[in-house]
Amino acid sequence: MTITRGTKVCVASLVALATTLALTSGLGGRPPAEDNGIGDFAGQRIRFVVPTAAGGGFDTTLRQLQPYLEERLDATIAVQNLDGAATAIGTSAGLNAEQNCMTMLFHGIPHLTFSYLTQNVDYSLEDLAPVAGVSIEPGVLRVADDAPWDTFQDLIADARKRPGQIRVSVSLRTSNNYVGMRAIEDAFDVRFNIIAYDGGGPSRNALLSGEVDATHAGVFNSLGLEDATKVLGVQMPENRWGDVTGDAPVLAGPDGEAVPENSSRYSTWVPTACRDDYPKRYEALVGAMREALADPGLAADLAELGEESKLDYLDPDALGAVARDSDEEIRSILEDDPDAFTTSP
Amino acid sequence: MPSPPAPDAVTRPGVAERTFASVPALIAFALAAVFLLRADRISGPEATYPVVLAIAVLAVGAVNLVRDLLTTARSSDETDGPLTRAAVLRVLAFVVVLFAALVLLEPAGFFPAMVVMVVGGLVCFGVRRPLVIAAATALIVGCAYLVFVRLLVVPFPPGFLGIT
Amino acid sequence: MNLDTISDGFGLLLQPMPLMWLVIGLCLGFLVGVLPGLSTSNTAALLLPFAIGLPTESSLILIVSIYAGAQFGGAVPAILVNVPGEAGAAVTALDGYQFTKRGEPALAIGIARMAAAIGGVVGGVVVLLLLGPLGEFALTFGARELFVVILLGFVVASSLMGESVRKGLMVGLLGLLLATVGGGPTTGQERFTFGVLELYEGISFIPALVGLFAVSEMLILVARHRRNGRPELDVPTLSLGKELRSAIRGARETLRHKKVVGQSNALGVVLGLIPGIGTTIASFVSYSLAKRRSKTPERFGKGTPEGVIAAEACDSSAVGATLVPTLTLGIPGSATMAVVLASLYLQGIQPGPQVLISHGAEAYAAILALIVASILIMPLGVLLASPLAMVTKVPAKYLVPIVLLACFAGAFAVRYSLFDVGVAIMFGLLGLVLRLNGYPVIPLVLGLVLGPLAEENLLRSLELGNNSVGYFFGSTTAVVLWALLVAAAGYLFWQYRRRRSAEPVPDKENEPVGGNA
Repeated sequence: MTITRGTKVCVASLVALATTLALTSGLGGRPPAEDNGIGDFAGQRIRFVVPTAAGGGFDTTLRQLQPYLEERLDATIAVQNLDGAATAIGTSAGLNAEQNCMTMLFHGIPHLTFSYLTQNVDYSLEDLAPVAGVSIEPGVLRVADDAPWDTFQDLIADARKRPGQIRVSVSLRTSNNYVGMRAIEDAFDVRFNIIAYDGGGPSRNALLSGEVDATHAGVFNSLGLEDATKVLGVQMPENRWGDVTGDAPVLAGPDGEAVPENSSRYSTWVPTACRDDYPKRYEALVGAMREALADPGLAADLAELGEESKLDYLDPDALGAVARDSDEEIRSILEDDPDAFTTSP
Repeated sequence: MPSPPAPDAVTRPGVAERTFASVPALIAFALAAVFLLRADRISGPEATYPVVLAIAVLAVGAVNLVRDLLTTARSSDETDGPLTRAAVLRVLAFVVVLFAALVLLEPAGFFPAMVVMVVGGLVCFGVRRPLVIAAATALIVGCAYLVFVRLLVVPFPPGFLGIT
Repeated sequence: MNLDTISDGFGLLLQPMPLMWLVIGLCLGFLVGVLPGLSTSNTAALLLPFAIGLPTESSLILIVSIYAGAQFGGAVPAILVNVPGEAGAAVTALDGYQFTKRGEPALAIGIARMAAAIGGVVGGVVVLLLLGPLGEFALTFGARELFVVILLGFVVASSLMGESVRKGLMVGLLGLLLATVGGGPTTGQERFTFGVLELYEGISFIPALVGLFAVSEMLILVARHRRNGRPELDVPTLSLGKELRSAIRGARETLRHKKVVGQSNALGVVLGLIPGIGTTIASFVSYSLAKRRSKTPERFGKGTPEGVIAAEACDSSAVGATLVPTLTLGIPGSATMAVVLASLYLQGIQPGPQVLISHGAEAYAAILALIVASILIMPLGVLLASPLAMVTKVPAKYLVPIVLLACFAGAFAVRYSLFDVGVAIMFGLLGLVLRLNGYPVIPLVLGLVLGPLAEENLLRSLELGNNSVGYFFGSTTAVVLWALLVAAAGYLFWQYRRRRSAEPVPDKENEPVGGNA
């Protein structure tokens, strides 16, 4: 066979590239096979799957936590954003990875619940073990500063006069914001024109541009709108977030009728096999997460953004209970109306 | 695939050539038909839009199918003239190699499947000396492994051999 | 505009460390841009933990320069082997690859480099001077306005239908139909996914693009293979000296087409400002417009400098414009800008109109970094691109497996899905069958990229207006856009009639088609 000049160039370039890369890349060790607890994480690269896009609420919150968790585990955390199919794509990827506690998931409730109840997936809550509840995003109703309503009651009265005319944006149909708006409609027997966008960002921007009249969003996720909008109310039993909601009241009817509480909880999970096959590693993760969330440095970082009150630690049992409640709630809605989250009311 | 070229490009294309010329229209027609058949599972404006499109593709596809089958002139392509029988066989063999690699992706892992693709590709190109095939495959796949796995940390899932 | 703040921004940028991050970001971005599928946003996200450890201005400069480097980097493999490294580079490949086929890849790279540099500088300067007002302009684009913009895009892009109307129309409609696969845009109901989870978000665009362009091209190389050992892309050997001469020729060639440069920059800035449009659509529209307005439209797709300029100048100026909604409104203009947003949050900065007051110097430093990065593309681009051009000397028997392996790894890396590798292969075969039979592939790409946006914004507008047609005319911006649409359609019709009456048109259906178009 004649060796052409091109062949020589090709071989020489590839050899040079291979040598350079082999010299620069180094060889990382694999985690030990046996379960030794926290020491197993030292020097490892832990994969944290975020089932939503980079720059979103999950992603930002995890990255705020990342250095404090890395410090406790003495490991490097690689965040991977795998969005799509109402978080089902990322969740599936996280669950199908090697189940040795080196892959974790950063998820939300009810996002996780929606992913397995409304998507064609082969996992359920049973396949995930809770590690820690990280933060809370209470649902709020925001309107423009110059909106014609001063109170939530004004808005409800107007909606009664003009059924289906007041436009309210929500991030997705499979979101706590949509569930929250449907709960408000049911509680006061009114109808809004609820518009689902493809994510929290576009949904909130729609209010900013005047495309919608109000938005149902998370307290902290919608802080960027603070300058041009006001909070009509917080959809929780009490408002513990007065500093970032302008001390808005809780959402209630004219006679104090309550509206079902509405929030999303950002949290960390691992595949159940991690808890069952590597109990010491799992406990180490639970401990590291608890300590990282209590780190004063994290609180200080968040205080700079006015977000310190979003931290809301839940231990695995409490987080598991929240997830089961969400499972029951959404299951019962779907039993009454299987198309509740896919067709217009 | 078209049959071997006729000696004179002005002559009418043969049956095989015309059949190949109608493949794009056939693909469009078949896809639109499948979409239409599945459209009963969706409702509302989200169903209307694809149904209208599918009908349009069916209509234009049908026109193209007939025109391509009845064509009197050769379809142009970008391969500097009609393909020879050897070229057709080479492309077909390469397509088989690509499908083999595709089938192996999930069970065997990305890089083992790519070894099959590279070896198959070299053989399709007429490389026959085992040492050259082995060395070129090792070098190409090895470099790709270093760039994508070691340098860019792309997490390829492992196959049954435990290799990514 | 606050000159003091801009000068503070300059002060922040012109320090050794920020400048070093700028060069590193540019080189890294170039590498990422060259490899198909490895998106700028993923790389920026990967670097985020590291970037937030840097001072605010340095972290912003690093991410922004990665973006600038990748936009140019993507053009290089598009020109050399018809592999668009970034989605927008698919448009560059239309003419760029034709240069390589006739042995002039360095000239095409030179033109692309100059056009990208001018685009980046112009986009950056416009944004620098009009950051505040442009932010307000971006806000006037809601669902109905976006719908009309997409319709305008369809009208302008109709010049890319190819020579045969029936063939172009079928492929374009097929693209629109395939774009309906996935969760419905308003209710999320599954459409034509056949139970495949990976299809819920629709057909993954980058793997489809890689398939249509790169995989099909590699299969064509398989078909064209000559067994005499000579490389299929018969390109003269390149050296740094030759590359430098080509760079100068490319720069001259670019400057000769001032009109195309100007119009592509303007389009890039306007379309880049509108969140959701993205650089890919902007490049396609710019290319179509350049073809429409050219005195020699028949040369497009066959290796004309105007084609490369229209794509690259627009792409790069759009990059700068995407910074506007990101910084002033907190609305990410692109996926990479979402990472810029995250980095702002992590640095304790709340994006929004107040960012220009609270962190004006840092914001302006980021824009200035984009301008400086665009200028640095000229010398750095020569150094980085010349070794890559050697790829054209590699014989096809090695080149094809190398390129395909890179394409498949890139297709996987988009969202770490093996399914997407299958998408790339299937679209590669579809592209091959289409191209061998004289069907254009560009309308398919346009259908895939414009279809979802058109449907989503149409359905959302209907929802917002409670199904009233009047809603589509309810804002000044919308009315102006409708008027533009009618004018554009009228102009095209007039142009068509004039051409028909001027010369009897022969049946062009079976004339050779150029490149991917």
